[in-house]
Amino acid sequence: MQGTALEILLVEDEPGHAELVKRNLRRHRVANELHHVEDGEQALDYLHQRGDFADPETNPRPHLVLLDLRLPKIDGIEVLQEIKAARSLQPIPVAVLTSSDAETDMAKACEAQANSYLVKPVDFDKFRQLIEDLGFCWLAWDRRSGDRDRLGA
Amino acid sequence: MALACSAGAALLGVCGLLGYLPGLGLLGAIRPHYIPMAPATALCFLTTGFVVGGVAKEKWQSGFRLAAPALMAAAVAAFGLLRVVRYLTGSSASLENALLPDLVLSVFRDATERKLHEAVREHLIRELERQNAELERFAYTVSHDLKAPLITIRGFAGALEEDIADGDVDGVAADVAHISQAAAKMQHLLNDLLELSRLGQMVGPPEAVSLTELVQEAVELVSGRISAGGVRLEIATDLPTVPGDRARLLEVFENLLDNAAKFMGGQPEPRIEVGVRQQGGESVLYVRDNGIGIEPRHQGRVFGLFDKLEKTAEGTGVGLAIVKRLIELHNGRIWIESDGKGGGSAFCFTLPGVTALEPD
Repeated sequence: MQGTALEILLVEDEPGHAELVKRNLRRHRVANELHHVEDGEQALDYLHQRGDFADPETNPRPHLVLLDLRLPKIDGIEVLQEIKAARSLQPIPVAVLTSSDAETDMAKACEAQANSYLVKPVDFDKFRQLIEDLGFCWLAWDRRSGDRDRLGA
Repeated sequence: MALACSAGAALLGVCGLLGYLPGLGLLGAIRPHYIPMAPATALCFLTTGFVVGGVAKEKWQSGFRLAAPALMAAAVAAFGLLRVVRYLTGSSASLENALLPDLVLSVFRDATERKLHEAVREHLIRELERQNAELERFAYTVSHDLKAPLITIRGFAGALEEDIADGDVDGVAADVAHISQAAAKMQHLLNDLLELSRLGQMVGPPEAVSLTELVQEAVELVSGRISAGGVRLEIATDLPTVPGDRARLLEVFENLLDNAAKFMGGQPEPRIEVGVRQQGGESVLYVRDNGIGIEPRHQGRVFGLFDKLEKTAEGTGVGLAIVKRLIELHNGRIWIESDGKGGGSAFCFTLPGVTALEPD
């Protein structure tokens, strides 16, 4: 892996789902670095780089957050609201990744300024499209080091 | 003289009709909103009596004019007295039924019943709305939580195909393991769900339950976890006897004790207290531990169906949902008192009727 990796923070409490996401990202050559936390509290600790996640070397700021909604401790919507309310975190795109296709959940996520809403099981071809739409196209296509000057936009 | 007699008899009759005879102990038998109506009506009759009496005095010579007010007074008095007698001799179950044929009374009675029916209807509507909202939440939770293992199964079934095509033997084994774990999880969820849905039907008629005995029984049921954790138990000696379904209340204590013992964290001297305290005129029972505690911001979700604060904890997260439902079926309330991490937590609840019965 060359240059800046696409750092994804996956907030997912179901180990099986997390495994599927990792597997598919790998197969579709999307993610370079995936950081996995299991509840809303850990997610916020990671993003604010505090507690167990204070070290920025091992816990870098993600380019994208994949956020489940139904989480232990702090609910996904609350996490989303806190991300979008914090000036430093607000620009990080958040894709809600949930098994719920309930309209109320979509509306809540939309209201809380989610950048995307994906219903599990995720169609990873569409997911790759999303990665491109969010402006990470250089990472979605297994680019070589020559493209590095386009990174970090 | 005739005027005074007519008025007096009419007043007495009206009072009797409306069950408004102080000193006869009838007041307690009437519904509250009857009372303001009684003096008002008595006043109306009295005024009518005076007017009629006045007219009668001027036209004393006319036998007809004299007979009218006298008859009216006599009739009202007779009805009223009959009613009181019927009530007192017990031939009528209630005051309002004592004189049903009377037109005046039936008008009052209808109004009373209508008001009552309105109140009952309002109450039922609110109750239905509450239950409907609960049902919606329930359906939402169930659909979401049952979907989760299905997604895992579907996902790994796809992965299995890929790994077979790739000839990845280790991958195949891992995929199968994921699939069977998810299927087992689903079975647990369904079992718990079934148990929860049966709770409502299984709460039997209340009997007097000695909590001292009940808690002892519950302790024996969770003795495995308690002795394994080296937990010290302190059970108050003044636990009351409460009205309730014995088996269900046992389940409440079993779940709370098990829960307390489960979340001790690294506590070197784990301790669980079971006791009762008086608060705001009611008896509050509590199961308190000195374990990991629950932060105030998480306390609301603890009782939610399949909600787990500790992802790694065993169980599906149905235990406290069951406890809450059982307490509610006993018309009680349950809440948590805890400062947060490491401070221990107390599960407090009321079981209405607790104050009404003497301690053992």
